[in-house]
Amino acid sequence: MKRWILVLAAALPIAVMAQIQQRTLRPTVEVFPFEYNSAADDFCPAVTHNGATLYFTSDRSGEQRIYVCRSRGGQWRSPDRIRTLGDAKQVGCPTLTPDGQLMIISAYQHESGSEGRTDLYVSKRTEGYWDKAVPLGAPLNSSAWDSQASLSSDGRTLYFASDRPGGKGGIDLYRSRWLGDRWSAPEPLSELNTEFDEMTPSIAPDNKTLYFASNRPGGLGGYDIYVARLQGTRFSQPQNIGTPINSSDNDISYIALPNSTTAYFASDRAGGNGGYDLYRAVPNPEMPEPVVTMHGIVRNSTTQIPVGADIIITDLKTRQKVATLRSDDETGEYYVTLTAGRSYAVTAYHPDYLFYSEQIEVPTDERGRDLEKNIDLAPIASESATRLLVFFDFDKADLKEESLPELDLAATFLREHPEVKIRIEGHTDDVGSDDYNLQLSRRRAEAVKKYLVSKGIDEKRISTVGYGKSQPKVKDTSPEARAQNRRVEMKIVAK
Amino acid sequence: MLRRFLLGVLLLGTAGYADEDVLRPQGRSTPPPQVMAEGLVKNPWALGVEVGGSLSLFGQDVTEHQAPDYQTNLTGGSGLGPLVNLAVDYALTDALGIQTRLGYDQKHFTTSGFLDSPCETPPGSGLFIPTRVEHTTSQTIAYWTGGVALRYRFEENWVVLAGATYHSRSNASFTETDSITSGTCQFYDDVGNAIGQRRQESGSNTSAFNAARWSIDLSVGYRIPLSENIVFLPRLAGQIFLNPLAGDNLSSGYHPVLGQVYAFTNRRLHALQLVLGLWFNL
Repeated sequence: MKRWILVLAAALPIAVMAQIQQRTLRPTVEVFPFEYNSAADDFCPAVTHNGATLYFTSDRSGEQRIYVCRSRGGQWRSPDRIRTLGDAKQVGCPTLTPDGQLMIISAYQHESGSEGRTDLYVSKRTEGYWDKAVPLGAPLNSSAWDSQASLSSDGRTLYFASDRPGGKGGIDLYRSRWLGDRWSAPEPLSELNTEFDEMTPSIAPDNKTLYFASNRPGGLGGYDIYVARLQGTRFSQPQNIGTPINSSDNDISYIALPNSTTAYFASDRAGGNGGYDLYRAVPNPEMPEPVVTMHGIVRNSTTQIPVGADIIITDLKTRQKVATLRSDDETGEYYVTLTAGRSYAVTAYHPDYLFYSEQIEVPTDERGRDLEKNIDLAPIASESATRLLVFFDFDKADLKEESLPELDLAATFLREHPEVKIRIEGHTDDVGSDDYNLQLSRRRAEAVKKYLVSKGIDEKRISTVGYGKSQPKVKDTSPEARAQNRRVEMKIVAK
Repeated sequence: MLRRFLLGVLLLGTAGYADEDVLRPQGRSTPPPQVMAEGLVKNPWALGVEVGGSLSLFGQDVTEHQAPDYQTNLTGGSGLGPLVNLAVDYALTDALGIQTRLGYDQKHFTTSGFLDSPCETPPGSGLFIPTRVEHTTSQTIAYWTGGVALRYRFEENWVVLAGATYHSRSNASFTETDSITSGTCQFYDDVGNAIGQRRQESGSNTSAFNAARWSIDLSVGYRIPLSENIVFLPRLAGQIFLNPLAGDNLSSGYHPVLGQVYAFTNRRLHALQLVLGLWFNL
């Protein structure tokens, strides 16, 4: 007995110290109500990755509808209802791609049809407005209630809540992956689901940290917010995010912003305007990992007018498309989340312009940074030129495999514009003799032509020339300048 | 029986709340705490100030009795007049609203044409010479208006209105100009003095027009938010009147020798309107 008392006496101060240390390390989280909360339910916040636009759901009009607030000078302007998504009894819970050009919503009795009850729908942004939403269809949608989607920042994984059969009971969390042409059959997140409700999932920009709400026992009351982190293919044991974010009332719809200490959530706690209200929590006590973001504007190189172009981000190592996005039709702005320590090809494409490609290196120490890359697209006209993102082994004229997506794009461009004739121009850096570089540049240009002809392009439409080192892009001998000078360009010679 | 009916009504009233939604598979158990439709601006109530113009489209049937060579090109005319409205919009739902409108609307039109008019030369001689006269009538009729319309907002910013407007005649004035364009005939004043080949007469003819008119109004507009609380709403409206502009004028063109030479009947006026509105949150 005496021995136990001694053990307890020793352990107690350690436990107290640990608690004190934990409290000291954990920053003081402050919770602020959103200025445009209504007496009705306001919930399901979604912020574009550049933090400029906040979407949320409210039934202030008597029906659940999506509202949008735009930021001006760090302040949210008053919300506008989005009216273009199509007629439905209830619409809400949007999730957006990082570029803010695609939105997945939930809707009940939408005019576009459904698999039965509340389903998931997708809408595209065109010329500043959201198109009428169309159903995502089976297997994502089922005859059960399917709602509250959250799209990963690479647009390839979708988390949502459903009461379909096959879960553990009540509302459960599901995950589906984009297979290139369709969504996979949703799999229940069995490591997170319980016989109680799990809902409002939100995957953070790092694609690893998942927030969700659950009314499982052991919380502070009602629905509480939990956080779990992806470890391999499974999520860690979920942790209650604690006070002051969780309360004795219902706390749901938690979202984290990229590289930001701010989080948003909804709660029907006392002291609000009524029903669920939106709140901002600073700092986010469960921050996701920092990510690299890249933003910029796509413009007409001649007029500098913004262009809504399709942008493809390809991981040059794995040769996989890691993101397909679109710049805004009105502003030309685009936004993408990247992984540090990778090399990417950024390709912008618009039918009226010569496509543009560039290699972007994202070093490991760039994590948490926001890169800026503006893209100028040349109109399709004589003398317009674009640099082809093609790769050769040192001193060789054999195309490396990572060049092929770019050349396939060039072939597609030539097929879509049969009136266009091009000249492939090879350039080298200043290392080596003039004659050798001239020959090498010619052989490289020829290699590109040969590939395009193999893809069905009439060889009469393609001429080649090698300039060797005679026309450097940058007159410098640094490694960076030499890398810029080693290039193959595609120039339009006749249209 | 009555209890069963009342229970049925009660269940019917609460059935809507039990419908599922995007947050709850079983729906909410209570109605939304506040049902506030969004109107033209943000709140259900909005005050509008409108200015614009009416393009009046006047028409009448001209019946010739005695002189088949009389021209019938006085059958139509058009003209622009100003309008101003003060309106209130109340949103019944997010899409549907009701508007009431008080205003001042001036209809203006001009008819012009050539008439082959017999000219007594010299006066009192009883000898009539056919003479071509260009006849122009410029007519202005002002109305106080009051109307009610249903407003439907679709897509993000398109608005259609359908309603009826009561027009109470305020005053009317005219200017008639006759110009002799052929021959040497002249106009003469009341005492027989020649006054030349052109004469003009202006005056008030308020009582010549119907004191009350009803119109059906259909319009389509586009909403352009200018700020948090102000919306600019230009709209194009068509105004179809249900009763004539004036009664038939059977005595027009009465000639002492020929008798009645022509008559104006079915005198109608419809309008197209371009209205520029500024709407304020109330």
